[in-house]
Parts: sequence; C-alpha cells; structure tokens
Amino acid sequence: MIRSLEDRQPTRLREQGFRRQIVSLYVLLLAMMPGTFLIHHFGLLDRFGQDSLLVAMTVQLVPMMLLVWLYTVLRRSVRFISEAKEEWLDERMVELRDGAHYSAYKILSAAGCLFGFSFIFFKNSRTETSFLVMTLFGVTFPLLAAALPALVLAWRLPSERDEL
Amino acid sequence: MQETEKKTGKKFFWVEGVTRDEVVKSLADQQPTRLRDQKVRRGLVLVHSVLATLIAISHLFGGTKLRTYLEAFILAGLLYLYFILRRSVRHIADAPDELLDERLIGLRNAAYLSAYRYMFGVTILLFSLGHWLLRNESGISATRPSELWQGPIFSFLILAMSLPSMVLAWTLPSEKSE
Repeated sequence: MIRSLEDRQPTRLREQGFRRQIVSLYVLLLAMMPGTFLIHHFGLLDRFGQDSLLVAMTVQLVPMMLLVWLYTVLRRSVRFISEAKEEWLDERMVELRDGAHYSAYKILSAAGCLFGFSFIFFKNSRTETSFLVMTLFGVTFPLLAAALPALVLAWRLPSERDEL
Repeated sequence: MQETEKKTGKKFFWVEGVTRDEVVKSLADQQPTRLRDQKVRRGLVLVHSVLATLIAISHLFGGTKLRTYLEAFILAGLLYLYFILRRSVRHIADAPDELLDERLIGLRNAAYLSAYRYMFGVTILLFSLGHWLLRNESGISATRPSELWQGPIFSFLILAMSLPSMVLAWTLPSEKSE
C-alpha cells in the first residue's frame, strides 16, 4: 500500500478517462449478476431442463472472476486510498477517502433498499429464493460494497498529469 | 452563507432530508440540553439499536394483532428516536456541504466511513435473517412471504437513515467537556 502511494512510474491507471472506463466495466459486470438471475427467472434457460440453475450459476461465475480481478486493478488505480489506514495517508488523502465513503454510503443504502424490495417483488412460487439471495446478498452486494469507495474515487480523481 | 443561499436558493435538501433553517438553527443553538451529553447520546444509540433489532425479529412475536400493534409502537419509537438523534448531533450527519465548515465536513465524512462498514455487516445480517424467516416460517405459518420480509426491510431502512447520526452520537465528546 505504501509502495503504491509513493509509486511514480507512469501508468494508464492514473488517467481519469481510463479509470472511468474501468468503473463502467465494473458496474456493467456487476449488473450481469442479477441479470443472470432474471434470465433464469423468466425461463430463458429452460432449454437446459433441470440443469438450468446450474447453467445460470456457471454464467455468473465468469463475470464474478472478472470482477475480482477488476477490483484489484481499481484499488491500484486509486493507490489503495479508499482502504488505507489514517496513519498512512496525509490530510488531503484522508479527506478524499472519507468524502468517497460519504457518497458510497448513500449509493449503498439505495442499493440495499432496491435489493430488499426485490424480495417482495419476486414472491411467486416459481422464484428460486435461494438463488436470488445468493445472487443479491452472497455475490452482488458484497462485490458492490467492497468496491464502491474505490469506484467513487476512481470516477472523481483527476488525471495525475493534470494535477502537476 | 448568505451568498450560498442566493446562489442555490435551496430551502429543503431532498437527498439529505433536512431543511436549511433546521440545520442553521441547530448548529447555532446555545441552549443547554442533556442531548449534548455523551452518556445521554450513547444511551439513545443503544435504545435505538435495541428497537431496530426488535423490529427486525418482530415476526417471531405472538399473534397477528399483537404483532401489528407492537410493530407500529416500535416503528413510532424508532422514528421519534431518529429525530432526537439527529438533533443531538446538531444535524451534522445529514447536513449538506454548503451548510458546514471544513471541520464539521471532516467529522461528518469520518462518521460515514465507520457507518459504511457497519452498514455492510448490518445488511448482510438483516437479509440473512429475512431469508431464514422465509425458509423456516413460510411453511409453518400462514403469513405471506412479503410480510415475513417487512421486519428486516423496515429495520434496514431505519438503520440506513440513522447509522451516520448514531456513529456521530457515539463518538462526539460531551460539549461541556470541550
């Protein structure tokens, strides 16, 4: 983490445009998780018969692995500021980190409400409740919560060349 | 501040859920009140947490009629406490940037950092509870699945609104000792 804060080597990860592309890709991949649930729920995987649930879970596995990899890239792109302890950061960086958490909190609350209310919406007998819970609270919510402060920072921070 | 007011002209901040007057008056308030005492504030946080837990597991209490009255009573208590909690921290947790100075913005954002971490744990816990209720209770009782989810969802909503104020109320020192 400290190495990342002191790193002066030029990399595309310090460019705002590139970082915003990573953020967009992360959000897109994250949306594929509930998307796969919906595809299964509305019977688009019925051709696989009894294996449809297994197919849906496998489909989720690919973006999930990509998300984990992207998460590590995201953290590097913001120099781990979003997760760093107070003693490793200077005042300006602490301010940046806390500001990102302020915005992230509001987004996470909204996402939590949305996920919670979706259980009321998907209440018919056809719904695979365990799959829905696993999708929303086992995968999507933790991946969103873990990355949100870094996502906010990556979106907001200007290109480092601009700062100089 | 007058300049900002002229610039934005906002009287009510929808996202934050506060009015300009409410925040300005609360920040300038010099009247002595027990709400500025850390012990009293911590007491409020504890009572609020207990009530939020009770509303989450309210489905497990008695028959439908008793439960409904109990839920209404707890919800009213939670809402009342939420407004008291906001007042006890001078609305700092809900105030927008333009109504706070740099130090207060720093305090507020630091509270959100802790609140964010609690929020993650609370959400996973509440919705695991909801799922457990759905699996174990829907087969036994005649309650509809949407009703089983009500408790955890209400609890989540209340906590999402009040966690930053709760963190601030817990961490801020008594104003007398300052």
